[in-house]
Amino acid sequence: MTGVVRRRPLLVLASAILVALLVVVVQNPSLAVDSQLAAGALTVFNRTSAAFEKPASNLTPEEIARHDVGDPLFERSHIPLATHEGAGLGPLSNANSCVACHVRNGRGAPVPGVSLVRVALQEANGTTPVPAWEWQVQDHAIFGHQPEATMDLTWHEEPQAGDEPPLQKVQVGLIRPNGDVVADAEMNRSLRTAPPLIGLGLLEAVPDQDILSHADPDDRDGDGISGRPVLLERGRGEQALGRFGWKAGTATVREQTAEAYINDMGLTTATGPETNMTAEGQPADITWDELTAVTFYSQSLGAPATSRTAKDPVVSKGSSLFGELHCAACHVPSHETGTDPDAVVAAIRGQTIWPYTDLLVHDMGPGLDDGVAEHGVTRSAEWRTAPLWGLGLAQRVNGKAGYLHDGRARTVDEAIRWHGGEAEGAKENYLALAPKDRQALLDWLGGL
Amino acid sequence: MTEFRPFISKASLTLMAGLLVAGCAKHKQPADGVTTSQVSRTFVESLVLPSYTALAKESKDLEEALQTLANEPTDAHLATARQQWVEARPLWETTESWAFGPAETEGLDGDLDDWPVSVLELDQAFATDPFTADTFSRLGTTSIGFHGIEFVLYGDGSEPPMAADLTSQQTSYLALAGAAFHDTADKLLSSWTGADGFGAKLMSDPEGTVLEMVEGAIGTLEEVHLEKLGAVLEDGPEGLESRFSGNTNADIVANVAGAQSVFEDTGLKQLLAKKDADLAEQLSAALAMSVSAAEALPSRLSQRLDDPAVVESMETAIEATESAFNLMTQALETLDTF
Repeated sequence: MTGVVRRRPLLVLASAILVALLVVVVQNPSLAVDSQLAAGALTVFNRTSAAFEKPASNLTPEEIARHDVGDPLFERSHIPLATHEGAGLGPLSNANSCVACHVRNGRGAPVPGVSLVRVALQEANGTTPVPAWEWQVQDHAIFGHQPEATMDLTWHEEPQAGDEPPLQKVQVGLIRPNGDVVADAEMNRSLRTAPPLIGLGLLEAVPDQDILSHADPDDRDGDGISGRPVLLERGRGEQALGRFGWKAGTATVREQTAEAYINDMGLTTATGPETNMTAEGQPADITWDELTAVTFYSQSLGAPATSRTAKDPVVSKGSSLFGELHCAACHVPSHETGTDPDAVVAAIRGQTIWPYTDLLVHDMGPGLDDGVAEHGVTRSAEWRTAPLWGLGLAQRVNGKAGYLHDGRARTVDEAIRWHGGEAEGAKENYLALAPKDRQALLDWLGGL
Repeated sequence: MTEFRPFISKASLTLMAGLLVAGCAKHKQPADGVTTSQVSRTFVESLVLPSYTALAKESKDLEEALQTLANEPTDAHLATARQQWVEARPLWETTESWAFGPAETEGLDGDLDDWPVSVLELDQAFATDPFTADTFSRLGTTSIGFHGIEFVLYGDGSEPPMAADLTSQQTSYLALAGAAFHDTADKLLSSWTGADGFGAKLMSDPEGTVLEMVEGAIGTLEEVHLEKLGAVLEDGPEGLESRFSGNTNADIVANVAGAQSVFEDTGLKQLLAKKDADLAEQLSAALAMSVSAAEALPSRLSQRLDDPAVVESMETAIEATESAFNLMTQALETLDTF
């Protein structure tokens, strides 16, 4: 009884504070959408190397339990099996687990074994897949099989104008199992590292119309920035909006997960909840329930809170510069998630999130033209605007991580200086900044 | 009657104990005025570096034992090789709490300790003659490291093989796998050592490192209660790591002892106590209970999952480790600046 009496003043005080806070928030809506809460209610308050592995905040106990089911499946090392021809890992693959490349769910490193090579044949009107290899080289094989080719990466630095430090670029060599080197002219090739996994469920929950509202494929407003939605044909006249992968080649987390299983690990997936068979009528390596669990695991990861509050001068200065330089024209700071009653996680609905992307593809100029437009849904110089949330933790999570699709940029500064095409103006604005302002921008980005 | 004796040798217990107290007496209490700099330095210099040094040394002994077995496949040499494996194993498992950094980001963890074993791949490789360095190079990480070696040394049946049962391909494999293992253990030590090593990087960021230490322990405690023990009760013995040697229980002891050492032997406990003395004491007690519960697990778990007493011992260990996990998570929230 005594304890109850003692708690009453605290309860009254807490209630008063809560009411006062609500009044302040209602009067000042900007506080209600604090940019420090990168993932809204799903923001993870952790900036250690484990930040990207944490389930989103505000999951229900049932959702946490589902997340925990998917976690070990995501980490599972796959092996070849004897149940039928080709069962289990491979026979060709790039890795034997999701985490082999998505190290601690972060950006991958640009080294053989944890990255992959996309390839294409150059045609007059675009690129086409390489016969037998399609769009991706599988550089690992289970015992008794030969990989399609292995990669040989050669890095070199390119001098830059003025006092700018050099930028590095990679030359991707491909070596066939018999030792023959694939001639440079034979095919285009593009090294790809794993993108970070955070906030995928939230990006999936941004309504199509929001993304399309930022599109300006013909640059009608004449600002030099187009932004094109990637529309993926789904048959029967239906289309889906691509939003995942370096070139927005997949529309959903489930689709992205299934493609990674088959293309990166040589693992087949079941076609639906009623069957554990593949489209080819074989028992699937990954059952529908397992695919669903791993998909849910990815969807229910949060994104880390930024290191500074929205009122911090570093944030005010950096985010202002980000807008003034026109970085925010493509790296659109915030979005609202939708109100889909079928959202995979209840708390995902109605959130203001700060991923700094428009989920559209942009022509990034010749410096980033990798010569590979896989699946014909983009041009080879087009890239999806990379989300920037968690950017400041990239190398804490994985000390070997690089920036941009092939990890060529060793720093965020280098990544910015690689921008071109539609981002040429923003880059020039960045290069023209006084050193202290450039540092101010980088300091803010480092806190994302 | 069920034998509740951990399958862990006196020699390996001695080695592990030596490792955990290297540089500081068992759970020595640093001064109350402990700082994050002291904690991060003690962690790197007195816990991590000695642990990887011990692993590298033991790996050399394992390599030599496997080479000797390959040269002269006698039962005595097979027994020595198994003993070296058993002694090396806890030295690695103790380090799970500091696997963040090069062990994970440079793929060294996978080279040393991928699981499960690719039995099909090994069977196919052993069908080739001769088994050469080129043959070995075509094996994936699930066919090498601790568990590939364990599979060949102990087999997958109820009766471990005699030396005469080992084929020339298998002994050649063991020699090559031992050399590769030692090489990886050396790389792991190097990656943490010196002015450019990961250890120096951690010591340059004491506040961040303290949180990494706690996260590392959280990761281990979570893996033990959810996956290494919890999932096995759900899914059966196939997932039990180190089941070929019957050594799962020793793995678990080393895992939780490593997490305990992060807390007790670095000054982390005193650092936490400055903010929440009750929590520090509760966590200390929970870790001790977790270690005790792990020590009570019997050997050869995979063969005893139908024994209610064994299941009960696993449930006790799960509960104790989950409790330590929850308190360690509270410790992170207490120490973090958010």
